[in-house]
Amino acid sequence: MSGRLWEGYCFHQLLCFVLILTLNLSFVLQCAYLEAKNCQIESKYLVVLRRLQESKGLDSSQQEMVKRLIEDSLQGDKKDGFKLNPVSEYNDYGFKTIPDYEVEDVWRWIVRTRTQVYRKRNPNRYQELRKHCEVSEHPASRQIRLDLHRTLTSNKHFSSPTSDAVQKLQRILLAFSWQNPNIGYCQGLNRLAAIALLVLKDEEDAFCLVAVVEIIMPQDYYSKTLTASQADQRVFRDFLAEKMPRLTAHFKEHSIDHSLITFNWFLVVFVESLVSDILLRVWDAFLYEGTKVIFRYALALFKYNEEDILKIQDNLEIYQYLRFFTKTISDGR
Amino acid sequence: MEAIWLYQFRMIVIGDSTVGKSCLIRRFTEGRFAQVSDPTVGVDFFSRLVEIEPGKRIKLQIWDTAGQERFRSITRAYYRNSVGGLLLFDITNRRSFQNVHEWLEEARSHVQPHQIVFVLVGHKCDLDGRRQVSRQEAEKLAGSYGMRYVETSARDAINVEKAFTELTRDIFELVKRGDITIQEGWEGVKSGFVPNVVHSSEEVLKSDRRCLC
Repeated sequence: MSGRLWEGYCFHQLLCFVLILTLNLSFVLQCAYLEAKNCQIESKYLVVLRRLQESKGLDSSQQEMVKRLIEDSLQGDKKDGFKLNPVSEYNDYGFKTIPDYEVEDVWRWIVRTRTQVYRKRNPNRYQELRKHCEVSEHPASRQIRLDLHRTLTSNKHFSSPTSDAVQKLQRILLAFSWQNPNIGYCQGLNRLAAIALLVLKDEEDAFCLVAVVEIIMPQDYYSKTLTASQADQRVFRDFLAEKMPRLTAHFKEHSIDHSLITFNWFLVVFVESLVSDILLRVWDAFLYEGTKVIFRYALALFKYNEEDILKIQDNLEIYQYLRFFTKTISDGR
Repeated sequence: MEAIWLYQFRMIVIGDSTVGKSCLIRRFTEGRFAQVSDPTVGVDFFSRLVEIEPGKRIKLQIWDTAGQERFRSITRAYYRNSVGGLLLFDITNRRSFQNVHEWLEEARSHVQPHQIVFVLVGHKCDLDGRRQVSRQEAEKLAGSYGMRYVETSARDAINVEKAFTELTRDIFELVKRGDITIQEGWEGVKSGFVPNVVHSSEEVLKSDRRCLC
């Protein structure tokens, strides 16, 4: 039985491999999803193995086999430099806690997994882009330079214009302008890159993360027309109307256009809207699952404060409340 | 019942990226100057009460906009509901002055059927040594559009009050004369006499005290 499981596991990797060989670059994204799926299957596989290990029905050779498979599987995780503690812990109150992990490890693992195929094809992409920046300036570089010194200014790493982080930020954004010349640079990308740098520290990884965000987001999210960003606001309005009809009616009564606030949440994935502890957890989910996470959290934020918002009866006061309330949320559970 | 404010005017602040729109508004509404301010993504808003004559107060809703061109598809939705506008350029940045006309065209084409009363603002006048646009030239341009021209500095708090207050007075005069009227479904001008919301007016008073500190 264990042998068959093992075959299944190999089959998935094989499938990925075949896909990589046969499909062109536009399918990289699907592959990345498949790989993510593969990881999900792997973790389920690990759970099954653990159960098998605990069960009494196996003879000694089978037990040995299961033990080895678990070790192999964990070894695989280690190889990627990322390991979640697979055993759930309980806190003092008896609640299951989220397994301990380093944000940095998770993000690096996601970035590397998502860009694996692409990096194999273009191993020196970032260095090439940087060289390209030296000989040729994208028209967007002017705006990039204007925004460098006004990015995450409250963060100590970005508070000085000469700091290492600001220099890295500049190189990442300039490289990105050539990576995706149609976007060039869109205000907001500076915040995404800054967050990527703060967590990953490594410049090239952070660059990949920005590219990944751009892949995760629908096409035209940061382009010159921002079409997809605006479309998302319409979609979100419909969701809000469906999930929170009272709040929607309240907004309508007081002529509140929530997209004034929520557009920002979506474009920069809550950077500078949520406190960092919660922000990083939201980003974990966002990087893993994609844009639906933004919709979910945006709805959750409104739901969490719905009663408070409903009490406010003045247009301006509602706007003022919406502008800052996300920063007052500190309970990430 | 005495009204806390006579009218509420909605104003929009536009101009190229980094001319200092957010800093000017913050100086006016919060009384402080931030050396750096994050680029505005989309639209942001502020408010303050202005006393144009003793006892006559106007509540200003001020909409801050992103300067980067691609955000215009977002910001243009906000022209329609504005009665006043501050069109900013940076006196040390000639290009931002050259783009004034384009900004005005952008506003005019999206404000129909209403109108916006604009003031042209030459910002960062504390940096006179790096000036690339002369006062005469800017005044001439403002004159050709039939606008006021004022030079401001958020850093040194020069003419910031003046820029907003004079614009408010001009709009107030137009409202008094009936050239601008309150209209259902238009947020540009709203009357402060709302008899059935005594409670929320009190709250407005409280928050305004905080603003004026």
